[in-house]
Amino acid sequence: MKHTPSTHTDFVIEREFAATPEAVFQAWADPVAKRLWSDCHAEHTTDYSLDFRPLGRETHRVAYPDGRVQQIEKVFFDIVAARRIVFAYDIRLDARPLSVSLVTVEFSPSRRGTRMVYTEQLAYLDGHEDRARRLHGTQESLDRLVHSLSRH
Amino acid sequence: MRTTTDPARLDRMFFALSDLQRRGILEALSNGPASVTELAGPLGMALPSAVKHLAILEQGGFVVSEKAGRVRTYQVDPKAFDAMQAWVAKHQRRLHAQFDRLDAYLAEQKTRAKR
Repeated sequence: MKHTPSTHTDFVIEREFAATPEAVFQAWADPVAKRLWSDCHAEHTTDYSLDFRPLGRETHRVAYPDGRVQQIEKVFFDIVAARRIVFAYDIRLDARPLSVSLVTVEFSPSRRGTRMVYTEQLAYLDGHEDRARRLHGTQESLDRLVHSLSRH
Repeated sequence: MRTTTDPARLDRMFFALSDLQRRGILEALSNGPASVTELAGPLGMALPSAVKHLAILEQGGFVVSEKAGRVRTYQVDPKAFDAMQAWVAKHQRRLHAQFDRLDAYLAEQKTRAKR
């Protein structure tokens, strides 16, 4: 079997919220609050748990109607109230690892309330179907891109 | 490699792909690089509108161009069709959607506190 090397990328998302850093942090820390805004409330979720403390885990399992199972496992490494959350997580589809990421979320007071900086370093692994199969022509990959962008 | 995907950039990507003629241009470019003249003719497009569409595709990050002498040649930006880029773009879109909900949640909490 041909070995597909992993590739890496990182990206930053900056957002401003009209709330105190304490309130924004609390929305990440409180399982009840987090369920209301994060993807774990989504349809087809079969398991969700959050143990918000250093070396605690967050687990999220989704069973799609077409039979595929997506599993996200997260471990928190550093938590500083109202300041910073550092965690690592992986995404698996039918037990194939798709990506593993290290994420730092930082909160600081801003004019509007809180500036949140989300930095993710991501290793893209070889579990993707679209890596195993070579893409033919631009039209197919364009369709794929439109599809992946329009679905979340 | 570092990419910062803000909502404005995603908007430009979606806008670029939202037009049938622009998708036609991308399909034509999948056969290889071409100039505006070479693209406009077979697609039954006037030159100025082909130029406009190409500029939008370029802003969307799907097409790159290069000028050699008096002729500007366009080609598909291979990065735009990279599987990892597509995965990361989808992932970022999900994150932005979640943070939009976080924003709404925080606003609601504030309203509740005021009552």
